[in-house]
Amino acid sequence: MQAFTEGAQAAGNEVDEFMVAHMNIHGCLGCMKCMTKAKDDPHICVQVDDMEKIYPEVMNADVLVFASPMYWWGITGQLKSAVDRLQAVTGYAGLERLSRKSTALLMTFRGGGMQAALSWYSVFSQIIGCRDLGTVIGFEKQKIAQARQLGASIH
Amino acid sequence: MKVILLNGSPRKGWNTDILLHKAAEGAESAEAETEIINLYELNYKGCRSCMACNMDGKSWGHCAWNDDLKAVLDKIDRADGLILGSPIYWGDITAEMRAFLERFLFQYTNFDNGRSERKNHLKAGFIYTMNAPAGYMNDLYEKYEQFLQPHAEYVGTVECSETLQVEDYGKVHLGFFDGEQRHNRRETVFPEDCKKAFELGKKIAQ
Repeated sequence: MQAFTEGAQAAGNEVDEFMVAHMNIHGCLGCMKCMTKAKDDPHICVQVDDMEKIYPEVMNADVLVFASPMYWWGITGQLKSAVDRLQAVTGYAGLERLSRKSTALLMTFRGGGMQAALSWYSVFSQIIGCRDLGTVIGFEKQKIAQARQLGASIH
Repeated sequence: MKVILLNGSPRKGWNTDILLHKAAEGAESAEAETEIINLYELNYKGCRSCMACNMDGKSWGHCAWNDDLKAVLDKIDRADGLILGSPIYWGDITAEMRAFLERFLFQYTNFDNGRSERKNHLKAGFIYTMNAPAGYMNDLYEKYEQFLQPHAEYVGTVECSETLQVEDYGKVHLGFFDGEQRHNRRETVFPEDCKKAFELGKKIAQ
């Protein structure tokens, strides 16, 4: 994530990082309030927690990068909480809110599960309709350079 | 015989919740004692990789993190059956179910030899609900079956697809889905899913 950020910044991009595992983020309640047509609540999501810091940045961003260690062939529960809550951004202004953006996935892992993680990422990107910029998955030293390159490719 | 059912859906009274209640009825029909636990009512996070469960000492084989999930993990440790229920959110089980599984699986896995540190026999099953059509998430079911197998005798999966998401599709931005078809499925297919959930519960309790 640091290497990606360095690469992206060197290419003139502004980067905001959120350490979701150390933030107060509840899972999505599936209440559908964010999807309701006659919406009078000014909050993007009915739940008021640290996602309030993330939502405005997500909406303004051009690229969303998901970074996680591989836990049981997938992203961590902490990141999944934030991912589940992205529902509110799609509901806030329709799916097109996210479809103009690009995504990237950075994962550290050694062992099995790469296919399952990539398959999740592909289903997820497909549903939200973002353009995939690329993925960096592994533990080898060259992955750091790859992450830096991926960051630097954004302009 | 004690069967614990974990609800990984935040929506009480909806698809996952209903199916878990059916599974509980099935288990009770085979004389089991049941308990349904709603994960969204608890305050906990996913595994923090503190490694205490993988170090020699009193936490060996057990999650050491002291939050609301501890009591649940302790109950399951003593239980004979475990039925998990989760909707699919963004292509995977919900964050709460995911966070539970991380901690449940990691504590029991012995990374020296790949074996399970769970002492008591456990029968397990999984109930999935989703908007997607049947079969869309088959790889995912296989993945979690594979993860559960070292620690439990995996009894079966129940898939409930193209679920009814809301009562009134006119009020919500769900234009992609056909509300009438969903209501129709609720009347015709969902009762069959309920029967499958009942049978799963019964089989786990036998």
